[in-house]
Amino acid sequence: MIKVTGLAKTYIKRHLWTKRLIPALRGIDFQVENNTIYGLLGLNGQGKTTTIKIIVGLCRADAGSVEIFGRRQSFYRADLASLRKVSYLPELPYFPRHLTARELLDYYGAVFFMSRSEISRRRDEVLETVEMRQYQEMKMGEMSKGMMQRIGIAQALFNQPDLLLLDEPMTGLDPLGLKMVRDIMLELRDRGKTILFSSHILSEAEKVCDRVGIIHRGALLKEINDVKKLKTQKLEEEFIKAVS
Amino acid sequence: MRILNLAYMFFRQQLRHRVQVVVVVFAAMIILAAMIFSSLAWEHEGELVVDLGLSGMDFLAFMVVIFSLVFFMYEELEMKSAVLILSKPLRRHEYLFGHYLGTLMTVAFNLVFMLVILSVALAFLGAYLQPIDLFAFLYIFYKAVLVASLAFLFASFSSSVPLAVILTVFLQLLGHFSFHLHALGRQITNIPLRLFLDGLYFVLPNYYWLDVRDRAGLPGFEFSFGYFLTSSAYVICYAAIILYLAIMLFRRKEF
Ligand SMILES: Nc1ncnc2c1ncn2[C@@H]1O[C@H](COP(=O)(O)OP(=O)(O)O)[C@@H](O)[C@H]1O
Ligand SMILES: [Mg+2]
Repeated sequence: MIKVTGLAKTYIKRHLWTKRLIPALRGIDFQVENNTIYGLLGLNGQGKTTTIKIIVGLCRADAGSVEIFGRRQSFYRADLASLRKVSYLPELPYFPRHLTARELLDYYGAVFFMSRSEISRRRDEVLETVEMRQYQEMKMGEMSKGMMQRIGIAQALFNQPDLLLLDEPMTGLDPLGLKMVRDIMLELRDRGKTILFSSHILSEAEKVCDRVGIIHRGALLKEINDVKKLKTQKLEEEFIKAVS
Repeated sequence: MRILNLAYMFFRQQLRHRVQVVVVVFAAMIILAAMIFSSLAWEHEGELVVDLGLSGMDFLAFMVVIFSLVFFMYEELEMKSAVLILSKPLRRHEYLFGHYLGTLMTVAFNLVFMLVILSVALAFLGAYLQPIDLFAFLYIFYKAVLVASLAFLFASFSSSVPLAVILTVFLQLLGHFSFHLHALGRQITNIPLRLFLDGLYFVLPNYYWLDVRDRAGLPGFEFSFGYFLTSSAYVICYAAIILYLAIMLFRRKEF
């Protein structure tokens, strides 16, 4: 489903005439199999977000390649055919403040080559899924962080994607929201979808992942294949062993 | 179709912004000032009001472009609401062009609003707009078409909002002088300097060509259909080239 090979990225921070190099990824390889939930785990600032942004085409890799659905992705010429079946939830999503939730989803829906009736049907469905139907007339700028995260998930479900890329989907949610996200992820997996998500909340990852990769200082330190077979708390032990 | 939808959404967001109130107040002030002014004049009061109204609109159109630029750079690029739409099956050029069109929609909306107010004010004075005034109105929009393309070029090129605003203001000012720079160049014997001035003249937007109302009274100038066509073609070509450059830069942008 996703094949990442030798991905490397160094950010260049320019300030007037000075230039600072910030290495973010140092050659990462991993594969996400069809119909699985893959957790990219790591501490803050280790390269999770960068990896996901490169996969979805928002950032350019210095080296390496990304394949989605067996198709090679390129930064300069986005592969629209793949993107139609992919969705992305940024960490800390920020939405246009002056649009209501309903307008926002209609706006995103229009990008997907959907008919108007299809768009409004899908919009109602996804709002229902994230339990935000009653807030559809609320402006995005007036929403709490948890509500925004729910709308973020709603937009990620909009196009009925086969592959979901979720960057820290669990942050900012209350216990009910957490359970909702977990249930949505598991249900999607049961319906044959594939999910790549990043997190530093090990206890949550443990509950949903089929497979995890531990990313540290821009390198993939370790992959654990059968997360389900680990005993409770074992993931935390494995994680600490890997990064220390 | 998708581009138009993008444009409409950007337009809608800007209309909901508090700044829009300023436009209404500004319009009211211009009209009020015009009325007071005209009560002091003995003749040609209608013309005076039109002059004032059109200058006000010219300024307003520019302010709307600047506001769109700031809004776009801040909301979409700095706060990164762009990532949500750019990760969907949409090309970068569709995104940028959609927002450019949205900006022009906002400008057009505000200009038409002002024009209606102006016509009402004129009706009270028993005057009405001449055909050349309507063309002048269209050319105010043309200027916005040019400067908005430059604004999007600077937004793609710089990630600093103040820098992009300053560059846009600077080019807007130079656009009014570019023709005079050219005339100055004709009188200069220093070859490199002259080439430099000619180069500037070529690169800068040329607002002198668009200033049909003020020039209409001058000898040797006649506003004809041919002139209208050539100047329209100029505006479209200039904006298209600048937008092409903006898109080339925007395609390289990382989020
Ligand atoms: N836009 C950016 N400019 C410069 N450095 C960045 C940028 N984004 C991320 N980085 C740096 O790259 C590294 C990896 O960041 P990131 O991928 O966001 O990590 P994570 O998502 O795992 O927290 C960090 O050191 C971070 O400071
Ligand atoms: Mg991150």
